[in-house]
Amino acid sequence: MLISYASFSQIITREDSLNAGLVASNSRSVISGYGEALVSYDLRSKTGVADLRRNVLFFGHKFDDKVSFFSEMEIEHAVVEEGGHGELAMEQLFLKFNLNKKNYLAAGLIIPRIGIVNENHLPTTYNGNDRPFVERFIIPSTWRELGVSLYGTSNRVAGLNYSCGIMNGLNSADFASGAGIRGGRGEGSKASATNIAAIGALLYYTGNWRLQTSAYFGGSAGLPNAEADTLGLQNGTFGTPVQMFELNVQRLSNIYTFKALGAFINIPDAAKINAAYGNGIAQSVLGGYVEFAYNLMHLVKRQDQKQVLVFARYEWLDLDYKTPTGVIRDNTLNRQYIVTGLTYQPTRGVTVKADYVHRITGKPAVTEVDTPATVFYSQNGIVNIGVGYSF
Amino acid sequence: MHVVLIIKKVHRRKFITDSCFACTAMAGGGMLLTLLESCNGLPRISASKTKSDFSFPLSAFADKQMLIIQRNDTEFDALVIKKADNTFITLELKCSHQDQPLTATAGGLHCTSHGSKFSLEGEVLNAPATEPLRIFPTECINNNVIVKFGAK
Repeated sequence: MLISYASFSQIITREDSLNAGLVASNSRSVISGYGEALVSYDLRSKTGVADLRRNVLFFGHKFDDKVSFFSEMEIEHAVVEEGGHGELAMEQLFLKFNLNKKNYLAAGLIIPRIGIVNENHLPTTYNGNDRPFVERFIIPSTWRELGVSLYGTSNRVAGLNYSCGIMNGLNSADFASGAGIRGGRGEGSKASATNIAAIGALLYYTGNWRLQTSAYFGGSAGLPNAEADTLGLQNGTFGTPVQMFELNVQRLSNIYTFKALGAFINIPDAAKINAAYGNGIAQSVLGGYVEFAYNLMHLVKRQDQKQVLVFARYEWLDLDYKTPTGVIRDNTLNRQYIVTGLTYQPTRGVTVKADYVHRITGKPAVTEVDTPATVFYSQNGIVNIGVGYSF
Repeated sequence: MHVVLIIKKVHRRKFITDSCFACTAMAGGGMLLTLLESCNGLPRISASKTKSDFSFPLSAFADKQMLIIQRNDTEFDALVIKKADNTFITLELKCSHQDQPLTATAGGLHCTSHGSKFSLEGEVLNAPATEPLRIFPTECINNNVIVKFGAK
């Protein structure tokens, strides 16, 4: 096992916690983690990049049967230094309060139930070295904010789960064209609580199917009155709102999996935000993907922990789906991705991935490609090989 | 937890009003869900003492193949499955990944937190869980199902 007993504390392995049962203990701590590394080769530029993309340390503690602590600390790109690529951040940190068997509250730096990858982002749970692009550019995974959320399971409707909560809002000053709302996330770092957001999701399991829909509504201008007036923005709790809707469907089995997701963001006051900050954002963003994966080990009737998944995913997203007055539509933000490859699982918790990403974009305006230095290719291919783990 | 919140000049009344509206919406959503709970789920048996053997009549299954034992003395419930060969298996509804409660369906057991899926035999079908579910020995004697929660 990767984790051992420490004589000075009650750190236990997952297997130990499973066998002993955390229920039986009044004070137990658990550590685990996940991470991934890859090498990417750009077929157009003929350049490669090797990257220890992330290593995440999970630490949890159970105070008693009612209250637990969960945290994930992430280091991205191996080295954290000024001017470098690396980042050290808390990916989540919350206290969980069990209200009863079916409901609990999570309070702290929480990850809202929006999309598939945002909540389930371990590299052993998705195909390809890259998380789906729709869940990066539209749903800014891993999206976490400070707040409180209720999670529950219906007693009477078997398979129905729900969640709803409030958290700090976004900061529209940091929205950017082509990057959606990602830059406006607070991530628990002195985020503005002047504006807040409401989130809600319904999740339903039936047979091998998993159906989920979620919505987000929050203000994006946590400004003092004078500054808001000067910038021409509506401040307040839900002022200058951002609306997001998402729907996804999955079929899960150990033979084949199917996933489909659609996401939509609407920012009614995008023109005002652009006038205030000059960031040239779209009024609405739309995208989705479908993925099919088949476990080749099923062909040889092997019933062990090994899996060899062959998969294909098609994604489409338009980050300038609707542009406000004053913004010229950027066709390069209308993108398609075709991703195909293999995911090999030699044992549970470990994946070796190889995939090919074919990117297709719209063409920019002619004036933008008039010099060799700014040659734009509307199609490109990237080969990725990587490893991931989760324990 | 040390949290720094920046609350700048804003209409306090509007902030309170909007916050109350959001909380009311949350509560209303929960009530709506309760009202929508009109379909029948799995049969349930409430049990106050489940640290040792626990028995219940076979008829409690009614026409279902699965039954949930609501264990009032522990954090996680248990799912009893009546198999086609008239044998029984009881699984603890606790995800082996990060100890979250599981949702039971005819297709398997699902963890809402990270997406793990388990078979009705307790085996891992989908990551990130790597360990199987805890199983309690179960047998049926004279139309009474006995779950041995205390078995090691």
